[in-house]
Amino acid sequence: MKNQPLYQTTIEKTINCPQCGDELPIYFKWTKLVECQSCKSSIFLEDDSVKFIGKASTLSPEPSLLELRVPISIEDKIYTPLGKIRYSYGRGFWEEWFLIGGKHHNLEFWLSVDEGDFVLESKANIVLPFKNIERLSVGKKYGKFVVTEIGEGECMGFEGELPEPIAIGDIHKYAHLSEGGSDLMTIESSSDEIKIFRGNWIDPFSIKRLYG
Amino acid sequence: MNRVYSLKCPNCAGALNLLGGGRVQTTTCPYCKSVIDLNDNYKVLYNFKNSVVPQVPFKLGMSGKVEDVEWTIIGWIVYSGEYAIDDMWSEFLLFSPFYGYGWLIYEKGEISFSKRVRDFNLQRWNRDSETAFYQKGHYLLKNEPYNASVYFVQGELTWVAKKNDKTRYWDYKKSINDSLNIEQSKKELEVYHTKRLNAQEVYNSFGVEKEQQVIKKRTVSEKIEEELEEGKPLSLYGIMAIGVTLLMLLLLSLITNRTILNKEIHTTETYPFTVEHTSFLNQITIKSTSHSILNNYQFSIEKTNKEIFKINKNRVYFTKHKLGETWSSNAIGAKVYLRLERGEYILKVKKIGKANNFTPVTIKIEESVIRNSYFLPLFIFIVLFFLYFIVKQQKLIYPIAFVLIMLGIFGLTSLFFIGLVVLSIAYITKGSRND
Repeated sequence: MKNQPLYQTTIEKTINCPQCGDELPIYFKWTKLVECQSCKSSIFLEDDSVKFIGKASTLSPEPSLLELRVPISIEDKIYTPLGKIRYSYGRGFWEEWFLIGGKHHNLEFWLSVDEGDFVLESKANIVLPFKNIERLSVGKKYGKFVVTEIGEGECMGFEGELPEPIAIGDIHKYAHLSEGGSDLMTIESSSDEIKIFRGNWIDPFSIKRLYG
Repeated sequence: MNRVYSLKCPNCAGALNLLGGGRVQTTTCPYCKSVIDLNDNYKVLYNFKNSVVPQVPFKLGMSGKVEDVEWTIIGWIVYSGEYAIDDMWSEFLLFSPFYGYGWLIYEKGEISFSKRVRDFNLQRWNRDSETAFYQKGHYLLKNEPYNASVYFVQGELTWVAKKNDKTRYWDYKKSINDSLNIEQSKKELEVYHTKRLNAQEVYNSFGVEKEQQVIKKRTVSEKIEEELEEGKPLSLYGIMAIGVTLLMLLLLSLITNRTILNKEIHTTETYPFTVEHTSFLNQITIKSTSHSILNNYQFSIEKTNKEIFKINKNRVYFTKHKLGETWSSNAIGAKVYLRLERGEYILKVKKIGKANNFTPVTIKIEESVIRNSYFLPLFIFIVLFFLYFIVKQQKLIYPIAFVLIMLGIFGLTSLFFIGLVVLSIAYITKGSRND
């Protein structure tokens, strides 16, 4: 027992890359997209079948507090980063990290990282009174929320595994609504759906790696 | 294929370096002081060439650690206050690829680190209020809200800062090292959490040359305030121990020796006296000018016609129990501690020899007396305790508390002990240095 790690990520299943045949461990039960670490192919997981959907764009290495599959703690809660998407906004980029966490380490979280600004969010079941994100404008109030930021980015690529499919070049529109303090709501819009996330601004100094 | 770019100033063609991240919006040419908009085709926005550049210890491009994070200085902005010409301070924009942007604030040898926070509830903030709450901390308005304007800019900034651009500040202070700053410019209302830093550590980390280092000396009250604010457990225990000791001293000071009888005796006499307080001890002090006179007297105390205490040159007893040895044959005085009950007593002095009547013997009876030997363990404990804290923690509050407590217990005699402690510390410190 002494030599056991304090925390360990569970491998839910293992598949073989349809392109190179290498073994691909899947850490999240609901993963839909995974990048083969050997041949950098994007593999789409549908039910029990796996499908090669093309080569993933290799992301240039950038310094980050997070590393794929290296558990972190944020305010005493443990999360494991399993995947990341990089979005470009012209002069720069930001990254959306897909994390798993929660009591049984099987819940989905997203950590948005933009040059020292960190937002940790999870999906929320909120029905919006509108279906078009374009209707929002900065400074406008919606109940206790105020729209603080509206923007969009283009997917430059991804790494690791993701709970949803994404393609290079996909446009990601978003709006941040602040409840005051660190509470935040993010509305994301793509061509076919609107997703709502609730979460908080995170102090980067509160993010600690569990090992190393 | 990726293209490689080099940047040149559109005004003077001087080479430009970009150190910051993607949010950098402007950079200032180090040669001609033109401010260039990086978002709009490198347009020259304005120029700072006529500004007198203040002397500061930091330079653009310097790197160092603040709060265990490596930062690079990418920009510099000088603000001037509205009240005095010399009311100026510098803010250096820091960049870390991990933690984003921060500010190193320099003002006359005082250095702070400031970072924008997003979790302060601006919707609930009242700009007329003298208090603000942030992360379970209570902040008080340090001074009246004030305005400051941009005086000089160099390097990269994440917004377009023009000369004389005004910002209104609300500075809230939680402690000497911890403050919250709310800043309102034309476009934004931002909140920053600021921590005062150890200037020497910052200079060392950023590699500032010795001649450039300016350190503002802290006043004694600032030092004490700072030490009290540090929530280190050892400091906490130390402060608690000081509090307990001071409380003990206060209680002890309420209990003062009270003389209930003080007589000069020439011959056989009887003196009534009353014991009113039974706390602590009664002390009987007998003094003479020579042993031959003392040996000619016998002292006894009676209560309700019963002899309860007796002392002479041969023996001493109290309520029929022998109390050790009496005074020695060469003694010229004696001190006896008894615990007498509350009530009326009679002191009987009997002259048993032929000593003359001209040289008196004095006898003093006191109540509520604490024996010095009771204090000895306490004294040793206090000395050891403070020696440990003074040497180990090297904090000003401990020597000050030590001196006060010593003065409280021993009065001016304590100067001897204080001297002793100072010498011990000097010896220990020298020893540890030699190690």
